Amino acid sequence: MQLQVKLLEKNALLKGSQKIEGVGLGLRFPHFDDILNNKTGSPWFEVITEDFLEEGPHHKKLLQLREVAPIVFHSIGLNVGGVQEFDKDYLSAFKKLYNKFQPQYISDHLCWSAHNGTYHHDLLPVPYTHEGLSNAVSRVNYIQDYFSRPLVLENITSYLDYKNSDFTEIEFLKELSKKTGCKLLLDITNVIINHKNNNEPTKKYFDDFPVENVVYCHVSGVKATEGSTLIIDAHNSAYGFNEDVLIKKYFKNMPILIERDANIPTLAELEEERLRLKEGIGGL
Amino acid sequence: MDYKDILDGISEEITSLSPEDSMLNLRVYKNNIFNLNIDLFKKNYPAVFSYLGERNFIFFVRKLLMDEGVKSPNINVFIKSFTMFLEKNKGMHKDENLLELSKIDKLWSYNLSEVTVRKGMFKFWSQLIGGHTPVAEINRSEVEIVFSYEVNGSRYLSAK
Repeated sequence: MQLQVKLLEKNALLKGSQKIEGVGLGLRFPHFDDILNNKTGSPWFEVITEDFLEEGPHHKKLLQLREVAPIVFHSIGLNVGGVQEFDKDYLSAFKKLYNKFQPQYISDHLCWSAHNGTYHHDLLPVPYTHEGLSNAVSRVNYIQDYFSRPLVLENITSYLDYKNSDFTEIEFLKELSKKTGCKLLLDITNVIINHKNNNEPTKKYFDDFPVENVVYCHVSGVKATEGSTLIIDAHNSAYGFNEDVLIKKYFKNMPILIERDANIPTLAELEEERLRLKEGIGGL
Repeated sequence: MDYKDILDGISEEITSLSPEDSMLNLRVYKNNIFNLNIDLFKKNYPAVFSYLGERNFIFFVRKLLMDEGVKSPNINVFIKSFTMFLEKNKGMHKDENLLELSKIDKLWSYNLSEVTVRKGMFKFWSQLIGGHTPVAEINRSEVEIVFSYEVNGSRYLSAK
């Protein structure tokens, strides 16, 4: 068994030069076997890093997948906007996974998710102040040095409005990118949700976004939460804000990833959504 | 107010997990955190959930969240601590079945190799997982070892 795993690891390394392109899917455990049985045409997959922190048979499956398709790692635990010390065990486990599976990118969110020793496991918005920027620059640099590669950061949905901000979100992301060399993952649906919740049009945001730093985009869907006046970024349905039109206009030829974390449908249904998006943006 | 003070205030508020007291926007985060935990505990402790029912299950998860808090970026570390928490709080629930069901659930969910429980407990667990009312008899003076094994890439549990 050990020999087999070692061979798989070797093959995976040989495929390390594959690049992500087209419309991919987020890897979710209920679909793992179907994906390995070629029941999707997804050319690449995004893997939630935290799903693989524990050893298990799923590691072997991911090595199998890695043989046939490029992957990227997407995390929720780096706490880039936080102030507490990095968890060394987490970083070390993350790096081991990175070395084993060699994803094309490692990404997390522009957010804080832990404070004073408590991990909230939710994405909280960073105050866009000079102090917030300086903190984020130093932490992104630390992570990039640790992994010896650029970190990719995603814009989040925000339900908080901080007073006395020094930057807009775009200004903050541009500065952070300029000072650290980090790349960006643009979540198109998050932008739409934030603007809808604030009754603002999205045009200026997309016009101003530094597309040259974006390495791929996310789209997802939301089904309204009963009793809530806010749109919550729930990833619980197919995309539905005409994201394909925006992609065609602003992000043509960019790799796109469909995210689904709740109400997870069959892989066949997700594949339909993937093909619909692919067609909508002009058949990448 | 400096950057750390802002984070202090929000973190303290959302950790309290009492949605009725908070501003609408912080309530979103509290609900997210609470629902994420409930979903993950339900997924990883299906027999405990079935045994306790929704309301009691939520009581225990909420108590774990409030008493211990999540102290690792790997949420599985926290979820795995449920068994230890039930052991620690045995004086409160006084239910050996609950504790042993959580051990078998954890064995199943986290690819562990084996756990020791009272004889009959594996059958009791299997009946709950199968959606049946558990009628298996538990022998208080004998134990059994529940273990996992793999056949053609699929995992199974058995008892000896």
